[in-house]
Amino acid sequence: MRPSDFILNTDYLSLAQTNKADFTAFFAPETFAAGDHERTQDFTIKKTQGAIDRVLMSHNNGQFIVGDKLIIQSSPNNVYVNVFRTNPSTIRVRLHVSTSSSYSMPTQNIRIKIAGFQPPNIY
Amino acid sequence: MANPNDFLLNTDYEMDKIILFNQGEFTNTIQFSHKLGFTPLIFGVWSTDADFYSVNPINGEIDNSVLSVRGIANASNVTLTAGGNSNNRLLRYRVYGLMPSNINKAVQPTARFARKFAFNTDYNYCKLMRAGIFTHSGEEFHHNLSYIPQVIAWSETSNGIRPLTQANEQTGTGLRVTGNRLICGSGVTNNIHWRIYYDEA
Repeated sequence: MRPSDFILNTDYLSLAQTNKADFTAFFAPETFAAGDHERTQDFTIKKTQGAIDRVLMSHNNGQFIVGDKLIIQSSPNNVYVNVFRTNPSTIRVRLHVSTSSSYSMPTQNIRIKIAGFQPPNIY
Repeated sequence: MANPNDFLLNTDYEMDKIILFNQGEFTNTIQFSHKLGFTPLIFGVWSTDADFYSVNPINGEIDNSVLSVRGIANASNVTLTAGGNSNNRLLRYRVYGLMPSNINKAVQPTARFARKFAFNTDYNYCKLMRAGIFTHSGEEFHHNLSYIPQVIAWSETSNGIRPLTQANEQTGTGLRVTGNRLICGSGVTNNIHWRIYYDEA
């Protein structure tokens, strides 16, 4: 049997979307000394244990990228943003800055669109 | 045409069917045979908790210096490799797989893994608009939905296929989505498998 023979087919597992959220993390301008730095912001989302998340991210109103890591700058400084769950109902947006000399970071607005899924083997 | 977003599931549109499921435990690396005869599009989660209270995505890009799990599939196996697990913590994983858009084969059903329901109308089920493969940078798919839809993607190299989880603004790698287009980044050098849904992100 080919799965494509059917629009939906209860012989196969499927992904139930249990939640969706859209929020923006705001990181104010800041001057970083040489070294590694981290800034985080947490957001509450509907609780989903064992969630599989689909993440899209937009930086300063730019196009959305697909994935949970957006590298804003990789040279000469390393500046990136991660999005992940710290527990079933908390989404953390983490800004990482790694620089070899003083770096004045401009405002960073990170808009997150996230959809959480739970497979039927666990609900 | 009815708005697909008005429905939890809608038989006018195809739904994802999971054709691979595997779960287990490991500390550093694990490889299992999937016996599909093609390379599946894998995704999944891992956890240090037995009940998966706190989970991380496989190939989630948190940091190179902290605990992480990388996953890749080829035509025979799925391989998971832990990074930063210097304390040899026991890692639990759940791996799922979808069939690539350029494959159409018979596969064993996976519904036997369902605990209670195969479908549950308490939840939304995504309606697939299109699945495809970008083979060169700058390639686009015009979805023309006028909103940002849900998208997932994988990156294919000679070693296999792994979830695409990051983009670089400076080098142009990764996949981008606008209200009307899905765009392969200008710095992409390998094939990108993608799936786009009518469901709004």
